[in-house]
Amino acid sequence: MVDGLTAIGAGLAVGLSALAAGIAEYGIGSAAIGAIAEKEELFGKGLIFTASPETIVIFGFVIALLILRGGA
Amino acid sequence: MSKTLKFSVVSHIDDAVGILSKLASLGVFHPERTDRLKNDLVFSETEILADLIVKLEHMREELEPYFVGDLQKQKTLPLKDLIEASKSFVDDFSEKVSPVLSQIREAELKKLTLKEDLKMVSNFGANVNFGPLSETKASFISGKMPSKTVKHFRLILSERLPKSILVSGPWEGGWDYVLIGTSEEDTLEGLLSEFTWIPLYLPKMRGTVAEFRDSLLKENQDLDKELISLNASLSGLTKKIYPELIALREMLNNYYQVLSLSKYAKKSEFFTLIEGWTLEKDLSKLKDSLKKIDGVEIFLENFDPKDAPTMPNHPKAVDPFYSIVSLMGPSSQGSIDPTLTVSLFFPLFFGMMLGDIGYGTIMLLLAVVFKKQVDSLFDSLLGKYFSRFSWVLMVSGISSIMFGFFFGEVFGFSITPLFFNRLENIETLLLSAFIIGLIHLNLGFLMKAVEDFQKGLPKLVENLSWILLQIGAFTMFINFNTGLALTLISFVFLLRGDGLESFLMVFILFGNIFSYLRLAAIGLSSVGIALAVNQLAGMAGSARILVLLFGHTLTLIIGIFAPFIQAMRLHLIEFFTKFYEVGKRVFSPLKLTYKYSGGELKW
Repeated sequence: MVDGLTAIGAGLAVGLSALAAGIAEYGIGSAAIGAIAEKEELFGKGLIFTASPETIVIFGFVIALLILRGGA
Repeated sequence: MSKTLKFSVVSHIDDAVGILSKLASLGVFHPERTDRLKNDLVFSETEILADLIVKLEHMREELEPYFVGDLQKQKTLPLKDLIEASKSFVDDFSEKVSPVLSQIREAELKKLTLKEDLKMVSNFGANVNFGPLSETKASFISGKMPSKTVKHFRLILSERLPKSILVSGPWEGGWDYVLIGTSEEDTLEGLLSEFTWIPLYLPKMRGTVAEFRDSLLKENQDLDKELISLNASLSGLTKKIYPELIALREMLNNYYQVLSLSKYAKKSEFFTLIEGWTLEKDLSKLKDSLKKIDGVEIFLENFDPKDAPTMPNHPKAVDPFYSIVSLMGPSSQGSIDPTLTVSLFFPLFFGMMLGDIGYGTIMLLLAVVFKKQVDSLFDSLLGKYFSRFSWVLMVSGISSIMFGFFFGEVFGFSITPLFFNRLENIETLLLSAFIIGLIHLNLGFLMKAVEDFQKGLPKLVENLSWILLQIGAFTMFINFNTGLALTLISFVFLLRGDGLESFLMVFILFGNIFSYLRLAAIGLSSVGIALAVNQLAGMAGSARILVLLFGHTLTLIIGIFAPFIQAMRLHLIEFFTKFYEVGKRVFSPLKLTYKYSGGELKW
């Protein structure tokens, strides 16, 4: 029972954070592509803004690892 | 970045060309448009030069394939002589070379037509006789129709147009070719519209197909001989005139570039004003060169460092990594060129994430092949970009192989690691990523501190306070009071510098540090995928090899793409934001070419 709940908790940590990052990147990415199409020099900045929300998933991943290692 | 300075040159109007010429020849002058005077400086020769350059470039394109040999440097001609020489060259070309070129083109066109005719003739049986058709003076109409309708068509044709001649035979795909000779075209067209009919281009054939083919082959041979003789004659002409053409074109280009500089210059009644930039180290060379002209005054101008064009100064060996730096745009004046640091940390990050001997080796091989292809295919800016990119991939591939040995991984299979196994030592991996992140970020703060060193103590202290803040925060885990004291001291300096905004920045800083945990996370996910592929292959029985091939190809694609993006992101977001200030433009001095011509420009 505890093992199952631990796994669900770890899954939620990664899954929900990935979902949040996806939603954030959807808006930023499409705006960035639009901007780059207008002005190619904005590629660097476009990439920066698009990649920014990914950190949330890394946090989720680390939390999931901690949950799994703690629960083992 | 190399420091640039803005300066202006004031001279007598008669010396303007000499000044522009000297500035262009030195190769250290980046021109800047000035609006301090209103009247433009105009040279009448500019248009003539542009016209001649276009003509000579066209001739070069025509002759280049025929030239074999070495090109010798020629002495630069004075402008007037050069214009005369170029005009006379253009006339000679029209008189001697153009007719030969036209003959070659005509013969080549004929050869193409012959080739098409031969291809068409090969569709007919050798014994088909076109004699009756070629003997009539009637129109010759050719096409194809479905085989099953030909018999009916022949019958109708003999009824409606009894004087016409028809030759037909099997064509490909259930069709027959049909050739009709008639003097009543309109009636024939009406008749053809009642049948399925697709017109075909056919040469006007004579005799039997075999005879006609022989005549075409003979004509082809004659054309080959003619082309050999024409090409030999053109090669001879090219050998004589091509070196002169190339030298003239280069001289014209150099004179044109100097005269085009006039768009940056302005004039009053007696004086001209030219403004521009040069590297700090080249200023004395530039001054010495201009002082040789009487009455020239050089003034250093005040400028906003953010407006100054900058030039990267990194070792040539690490130049491919500048393509990552340049994604941020050129840096502003006084910013440190981070290319060397990027060349160390980018492969480190990439290798740590991919970390597999097998994937690293394939990636290295692919990058080597890609580079060879790119070098042979492109001789352009795009080629240069791809070539740089493949260098980055190669170095990253080598780093991946090294980390593969450290972690003991080959295509997801475990071997004895030099350091530790990633999957079994996740905490160690996370800690390593964390420490690398701390080093990388603080290197960014140190670089900023170096940049700000000249701006005064408060700025320097503020930047070092970010490092002190981290030391304080981590010291709290060992000795709380000491750590707290250090943290508070750093806060005081930070508040002095950035005010309340510093509080927000603290959260961003710790977010940045934890962001480096992706070095471990991406690595673990790539091992995970490789392991999944290996397990699937184990279950696939006889299709094992196929699953392994397909699975690892897919993993390799993800394995290259994800670390590349993530390593780039760690640089662009976490690292560069600590010190890199984006400037507006790159220092690109005007440079004259002296590959095929030598000596000073003479006006």
